[in-house]
Amino acid sequence: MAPQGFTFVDHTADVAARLRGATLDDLFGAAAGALTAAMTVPEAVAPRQSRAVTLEAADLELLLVDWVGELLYLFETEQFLVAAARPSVAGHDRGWRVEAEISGETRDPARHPVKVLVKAVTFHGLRIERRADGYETLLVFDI
Amino acid sequence: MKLERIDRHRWRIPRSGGMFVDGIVYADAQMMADLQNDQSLEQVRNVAHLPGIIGASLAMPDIHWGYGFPIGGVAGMDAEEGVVSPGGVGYDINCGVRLLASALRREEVSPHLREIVTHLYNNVPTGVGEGRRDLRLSSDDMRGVLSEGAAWAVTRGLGEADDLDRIEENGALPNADPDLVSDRARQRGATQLGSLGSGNHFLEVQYVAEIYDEPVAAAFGLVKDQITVMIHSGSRGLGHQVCQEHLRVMVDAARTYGITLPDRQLCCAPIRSPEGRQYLAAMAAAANFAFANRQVMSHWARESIAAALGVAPGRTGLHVVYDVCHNIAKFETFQIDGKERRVCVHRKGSTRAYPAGHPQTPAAYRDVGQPVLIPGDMGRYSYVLAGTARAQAQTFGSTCHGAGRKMSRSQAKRAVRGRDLIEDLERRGIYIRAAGMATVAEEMPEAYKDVADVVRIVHEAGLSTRVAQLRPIGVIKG
Repeated sequence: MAPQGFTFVDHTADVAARLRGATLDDLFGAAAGALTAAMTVPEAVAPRQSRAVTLEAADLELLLVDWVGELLYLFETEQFLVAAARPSVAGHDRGWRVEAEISGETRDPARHPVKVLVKAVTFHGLRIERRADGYETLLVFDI
Repeated sequence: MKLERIDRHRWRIPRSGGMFVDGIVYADAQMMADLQNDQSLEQVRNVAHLPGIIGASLAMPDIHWGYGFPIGGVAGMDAEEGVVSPGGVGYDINCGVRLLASALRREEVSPHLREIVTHLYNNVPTGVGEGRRDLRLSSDDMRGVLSEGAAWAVTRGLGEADDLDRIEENGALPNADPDLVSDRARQRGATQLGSLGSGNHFLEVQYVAEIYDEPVAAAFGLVKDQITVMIHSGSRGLGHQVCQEHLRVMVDAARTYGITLPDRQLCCAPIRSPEGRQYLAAMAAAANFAFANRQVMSHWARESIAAALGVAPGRTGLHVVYDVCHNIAKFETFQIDGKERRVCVHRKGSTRAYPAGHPQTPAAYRDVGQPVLIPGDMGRYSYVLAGTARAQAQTFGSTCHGAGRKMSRSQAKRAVRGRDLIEDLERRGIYIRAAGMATVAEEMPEAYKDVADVVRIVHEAGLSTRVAQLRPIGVIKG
């Protein structure tokens, strides 16, 4: 099995992450991890507060973009950085749903230096592929 | 990919498969060789698949890889039969550039440069999140910003009335509908009006280093060694959110209207459809936020420079030369095959370049053409050009917008390792303050193509003509 989680891939204009997960839950968790690691030092983000998120979309790719977009929105409006996310992804009759509990904290400039500011989550190269050992996709952030 | 050379600076990607028109790229042989390793030519081809596209899918010499559309891409869509695509505008709606010229000369400013940059850095927010606490928008204020653009700021005392005469579209797109900007987008923007943001955005104190065309420079009010201020910023989180939400809608809309696309990021809807109209009205509102944003920052820059020099703000003579959009879709009128046609021009990393005599060229510049503002990277130089009739005829009145990256951010950081970039720049006479020093490394001069090459090609191709070169001496960044 390829390594779980995410690795950043070199990209001329923006930041791209390759996400891997044994399950869809893991894949969505990896996406949250990639966003935090793109923006700051992830080890410095503590799980001090928690939030609940529920989202629905017609397909998995749209759901992934909505999911990371939601976390980005929390950062932009509340400076909330995600330490850990426990998403649960499931199909239903009209598409897909993610329910998640996320934990993290409000950014403290002294402990959370900004690496890059992510503007948006893109559809570029986004295709969630099912492999024998799990799921994989590229996720590109516009910065 | 099949590529035919049309002339010295133009290359054709012939129509094939699902393309409605050819692709045409403005580049010289060296640039075209570099582009072979890039996906951007494929993106020029993909844009030619959009229904209602007129003439050709165009790319300027600063073409590089983007989302859906290439950066440097221009596409004119028939206003009745065509589509509108949020990917043809980009996430940072109305990211653009404003140039202010002053009555100050380089030698009187140089001794005070550190104070000036410090004042600017303290008064114009950069980097993460929030703008100034003394500018918080009520919901009525937000409505005013979204519908009136730069004029909202001027009526609040943040600028002069005649600033508005020298802004593309006078600083407000018509047909903006504030009600179509979601609560989420408003929340992202509520605290960000009057802030620079991060990435390649900047505010620079510059001087006029070269004049290439004396009469046109004189008409623009530019003389050698004059101090100028350039602001590069856009619609911040508000615009990003508008784009993100409408891309989502357009993915479904493209399916609804039976539009087949080679890349999901190109998703679009007919201009006359509800989805198309709603996007255009929300995009116009976000564009107005960006015009207001640059207006507010201009005002604070005027105050900061005067305070640093210990003079009254009027004494600096800082006034707007022009303000252009780099990421926008707008309805404009062109003569095509002898007929007047209304076109929805998508410019994604491209600048409008209207010629002398055009009714939308400001009265002060009507004899010489619209000023075109091309920012370079922070260590080198930026350019002022003038619009031409050839751009009007060939590229929907469009030209290039900047340099374009050539190194990834991690490559740039590796290249910088062990060097003190701030000190390097200071040795070259450029004093910089940045919120995140990592940004400085990523935005180092060598990470970008030389903007002079891009400008040379549009000049030689006749899409705009070189007027002046501006060099930075003070920079603030995110």
